[in-house]
Amino acid sequence: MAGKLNLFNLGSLGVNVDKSALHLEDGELSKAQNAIRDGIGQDGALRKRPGLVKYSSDVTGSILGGIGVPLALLTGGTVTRTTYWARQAKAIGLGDTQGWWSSTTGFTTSATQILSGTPGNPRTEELSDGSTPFSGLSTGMPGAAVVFQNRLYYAGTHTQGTDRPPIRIFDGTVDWELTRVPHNGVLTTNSTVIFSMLLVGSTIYVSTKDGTSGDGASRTGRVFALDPSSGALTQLGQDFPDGYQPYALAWHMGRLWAGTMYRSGGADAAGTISWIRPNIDTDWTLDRTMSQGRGCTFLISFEGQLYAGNWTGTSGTTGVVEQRDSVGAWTVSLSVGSLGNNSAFMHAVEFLGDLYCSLYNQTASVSTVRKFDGSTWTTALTTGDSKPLTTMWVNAAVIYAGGGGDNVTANLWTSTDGTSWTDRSANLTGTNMCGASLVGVLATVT
Amino acid sequence: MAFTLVQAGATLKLVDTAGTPSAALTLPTNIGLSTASSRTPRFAIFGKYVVIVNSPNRPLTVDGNGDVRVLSPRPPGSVPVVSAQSGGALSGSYKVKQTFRIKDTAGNIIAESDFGPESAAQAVTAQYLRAASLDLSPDSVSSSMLYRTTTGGVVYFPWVELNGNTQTSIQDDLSDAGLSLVAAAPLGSAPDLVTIASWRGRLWGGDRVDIDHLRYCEVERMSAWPRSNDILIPPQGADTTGIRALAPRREALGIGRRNHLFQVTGTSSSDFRSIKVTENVGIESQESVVVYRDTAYFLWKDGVYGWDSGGIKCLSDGDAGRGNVRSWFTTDSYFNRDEFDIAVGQIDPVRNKYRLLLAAAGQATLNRWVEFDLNTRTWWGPHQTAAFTPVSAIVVPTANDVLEPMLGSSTGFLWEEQATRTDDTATAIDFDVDTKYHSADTPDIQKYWDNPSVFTIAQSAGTLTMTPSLGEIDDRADTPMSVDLTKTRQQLRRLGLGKHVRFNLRENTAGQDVVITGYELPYFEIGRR
Repeated sequence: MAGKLNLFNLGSLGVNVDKSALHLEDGELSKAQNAIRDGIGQDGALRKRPGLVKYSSDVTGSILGGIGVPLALLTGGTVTRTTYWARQAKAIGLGDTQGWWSSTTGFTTSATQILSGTPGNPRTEELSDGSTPFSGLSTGMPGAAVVFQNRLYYAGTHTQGTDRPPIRIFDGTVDWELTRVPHNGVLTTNSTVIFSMLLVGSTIYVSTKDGTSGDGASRTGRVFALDPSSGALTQLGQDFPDGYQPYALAWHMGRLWAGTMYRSGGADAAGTISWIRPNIDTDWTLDRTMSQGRGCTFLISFEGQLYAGNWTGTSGTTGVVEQRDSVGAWTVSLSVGSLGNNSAFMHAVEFLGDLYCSLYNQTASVSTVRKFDGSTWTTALTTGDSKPLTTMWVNAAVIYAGGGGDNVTANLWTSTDGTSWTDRSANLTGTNMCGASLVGVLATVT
Repeated sequence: MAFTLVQAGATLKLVDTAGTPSAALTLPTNIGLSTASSRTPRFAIFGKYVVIVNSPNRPLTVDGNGDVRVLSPRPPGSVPVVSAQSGGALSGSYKVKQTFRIKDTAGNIIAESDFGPESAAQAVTAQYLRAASLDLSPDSVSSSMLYRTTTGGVVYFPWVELNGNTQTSIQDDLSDAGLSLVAAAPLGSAPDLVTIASWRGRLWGGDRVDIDHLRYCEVERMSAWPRSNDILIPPQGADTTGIRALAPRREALGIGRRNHLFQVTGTSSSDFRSIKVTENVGIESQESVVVYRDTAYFLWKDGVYGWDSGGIKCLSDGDAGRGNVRSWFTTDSYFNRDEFDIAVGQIDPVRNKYRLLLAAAGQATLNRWVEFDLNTRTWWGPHQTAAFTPVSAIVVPTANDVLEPMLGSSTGFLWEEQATRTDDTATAIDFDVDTKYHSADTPDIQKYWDNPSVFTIAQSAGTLTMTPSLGEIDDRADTPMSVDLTKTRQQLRRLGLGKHVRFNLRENTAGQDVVITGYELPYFEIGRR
């Protein structure tokens, strides 16, 4: 008798090693080494398995385990970090809409200018005593911009007095307005400018300068808690007393601290340092009136102690960094005498375990960076360029100090170790510009 | 863009979607990674962190910046010394406790240690309350958190935070009314975990010391492991391995012991309970466990099991008489059963397969793998490669967030599939298939097997060797035939006499694909002798 086996299911039944040879079905296999059912395009057929090729470079060492992580990788070669640094005209008045510098190389190469583009123009303001603008002192500390969830929140431009200051968001591509600072019901005016923003957890604290421009009375400020998702702004405590403007913000001991500038009725007074516990306290508690000067220019928590820098004035021409120890006692940590009027410790950051702050001696036109290791102050940098270092930040293991100011073009110095500094000022494209205290770094994965 | 975290030797590295590894991540002080086969790294994703246990000497977390931290800082060890200080406005009697915190640059709490010891009670009268002799952490922490009672109370509330890790005293006169309305949340040190899973918004793990106890953290607080968050998985003391593996399904957390499978159900600490799912089925290897679409696949001593809402089923025992490969797992002919505890499982989401890496008989490395086709419930393999020795299996997110199953090798590479049928750059893939013995359902009738016709998908080149075995079932192989793979149909020579015939199909050339759609085999019955 003649017959024919028609076997077209070789790729359907797979391996069976338990049945006896007589009982295997047509299409079942007793071995299928490197043979598969290919359900992608050749289902039913028997096919050689795909090849295996190196996906990664050599990671060096046996790969004992791993996990794919659906989260953003924020380090490595596929990540581009773009720094956005707000610019302002060096001429008197500052606050002009001069856009931003952007750099993907940490300003090691020429920066790009963004003018009236995306992100939108920032708003800055130069402080003055009514007649003399103070070199370099503008915006606040740490500055009027923060990065939260890789989005730049910043103080946008507006017409002072007429409009309420906006807070805008830039995500690297799209720029939009989130909210505006509420009208000041006590002064019945709009805020003049946003001084500073501070990110703590998922809350952005925002301080404002309110009231009249110039040197008159009725100049104060407020601090708000900003919900970065909804844009809701909630004022913390009451308005600051007349003349006191919350210029510097810091988080320390589980509390929000505000350092104020003072100017009212043509008079100076020492800056104050107050704290509040958001959602617990109803008003600010005054903790310190500084020993010198007319304002607190920086606040920073370092090794369990709070440090505050001052701005000199007729009420004191010695530059000081005051230190609040962990039991609440204030002492002077660093004192630099004979600075004259309008000099200041301008900004401060922690870098590689040390505290760095910039000091501008307006009388001598000398700009330095001072370093504190927890016990000793040293001078880490003397720029020699006679330009204030109004802003400092840290990005990708590099410390930056730069700025410029009134009638002083921008400068920028960087260091990877805090000891050896490089002048990057030539990479700040444009003329007659200086840098303001609005800085943010956004990461883009390519 | 996503990334992959790997343990390469005694280092952790991040691999980006271009396959580029980072430099070795910096481990916290006094932390090391073991490379012993019993200390395979185990991972879970929790929030924006990857938690790694078993290979490190303390559980670790890793974030997208490559920052590696301990899961829980060590708690303070010394007793705070409390005293009354002049000034201030606080009155009452208070006790103080200290913790250590790790925070990110924005001030978010990543981890907080357990409470240190309680201070003595201290009375103050219109004074400051000072806590001194505070402990400094050996870990890299951001701050100390101080908690205190209300006057005469026993419940601790957040009091003040001491930034940094250098200061040993702090004082404040915060009133009772000024304290947070919410008491201190439960805390606790993470144990030395050997297994880890994320389920119900918590981390779960088996303890290296208390091997029969399943521990879990507080909701959404990965560093807080109160000692009371503990479920005994019996039988206590019955073996030396205790909890071997975890399998988090949608509504149940599977816990495998050597010879038992339990599940934990419930939604909170008040109603979490363990239920024995089965005896005489356990889990041999944590790495063999894969949960995919609410089914847990794992290896036990006698085969591969699937556990879903319908119960537990041994997948390697076949279904309706097909796919029976129990012999793979219950004899010593195929795999080294002593090495089942290092077996590694993986889901191939592209081809919808469960892949299991095993050691060949007499071997100690994972140099073979078998595959269970989830669509057809069929088994394939054992496969092998001459290009490298697999060690691990990882589903890697590549560019455009495509998930690809990859193998990690002993030589330090991740390997992905490619359409070209070549391993590495030039290593041939040894395609080696044995068909059944065909008897035309008349095994006692001698037949003349005529010219077989082989149908293939035409390739640009190549030859398949098709070797018939004729005669009785145990007869030897006959002269091989060549199948021209450039043709879609080819008639081969007459095979000859025999009651049975089967074919070995083999092709072992680099870059050569083989797609066999079938064959026809005419025959003539000769008669019975």
